[in-house]
Amino acid sequence: MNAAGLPNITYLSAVHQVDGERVALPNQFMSKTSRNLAENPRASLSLLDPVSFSEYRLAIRYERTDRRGPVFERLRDDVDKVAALAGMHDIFRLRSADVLHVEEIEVVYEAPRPVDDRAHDHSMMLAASAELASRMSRCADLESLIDVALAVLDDLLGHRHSSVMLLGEAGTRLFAIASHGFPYEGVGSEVEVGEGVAGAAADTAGR
Amino acid sequence: MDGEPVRVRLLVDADDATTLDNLQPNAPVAITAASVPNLSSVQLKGRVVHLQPVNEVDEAKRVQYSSDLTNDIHRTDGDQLAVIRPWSERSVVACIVEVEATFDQTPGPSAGAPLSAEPACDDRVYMRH
Repeated sequence: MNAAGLPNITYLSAVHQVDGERVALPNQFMSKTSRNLAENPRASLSLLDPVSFSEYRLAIRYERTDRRGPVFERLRDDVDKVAALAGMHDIFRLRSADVLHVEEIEVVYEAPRPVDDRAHDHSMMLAASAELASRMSRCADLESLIDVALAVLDDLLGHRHSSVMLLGEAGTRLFAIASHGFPYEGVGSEVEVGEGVAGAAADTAGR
Repeated sequence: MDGEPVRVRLLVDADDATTLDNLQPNAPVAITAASVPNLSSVQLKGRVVHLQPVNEVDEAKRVQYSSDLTNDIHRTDGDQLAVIRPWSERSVVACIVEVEATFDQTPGPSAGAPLSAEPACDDRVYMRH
């Protein structure tokens, strides 16, 4: 809301928790929002849990803008991943990270999910990961190890589609050496580092 | 839409006491609407005229909008229908808003630019505010 009391609303791709009292918002196209925060530091943030779909409303107060540093870097990685998933790498670019103090949290919608479900899921994933490690340890060569790993990722962890890509000697391109679950094999396909989901992941890992 | 002045009929979460409390007659309001598959978005700004109980047409639209939203999120992001459905299906009340300005909010360089009276989105838009 600006100083005259006119509200402005915008979508954000993600919100990051900075510490126990603060969140950081990715500023990509928020010129109007930034002007309003300069005039009136109070804002309202509607948050949707992307897993459970529980919804929260946060009363927040603007504190600072980061254009470098760990908070900015974390948000930039996240924006790059969202851009890769949406195929909008040229459009989604982080200008800055706005850090705001959380003054109040209101539950707008609480998903009908038992409290201990998530702990149960984690327990199942841990057991599946142990089984994955066990089966991989019994493989005698790289080819069978990759085949087993991708099959177990599907069978026990539900990752129906997967591929393994290696970085080329020049360090600029990824090459697929195995894939699982796709209608085409995909072995030998190439991706530029920084391009698409796999390229963005490799780019992040290389920093 | 009613013609001049342009009015829209919002279907607002009936259990969201904070939002309903804010929607007093003549209160300024900003509304965003987006298409899940292609992210095209618009923002409407205006003033609340009044709240109304929903009628049969509203209820039919709520059912259709909830179904479209649920299916679009499922197809676009892969979330399970059983998780999305309870979130998207809520009881609603109607809020009449007189629109004073519309803006493009689609991600990209034109975000924030004023729009003409013609809507920029396709039919599948979901309004929250």
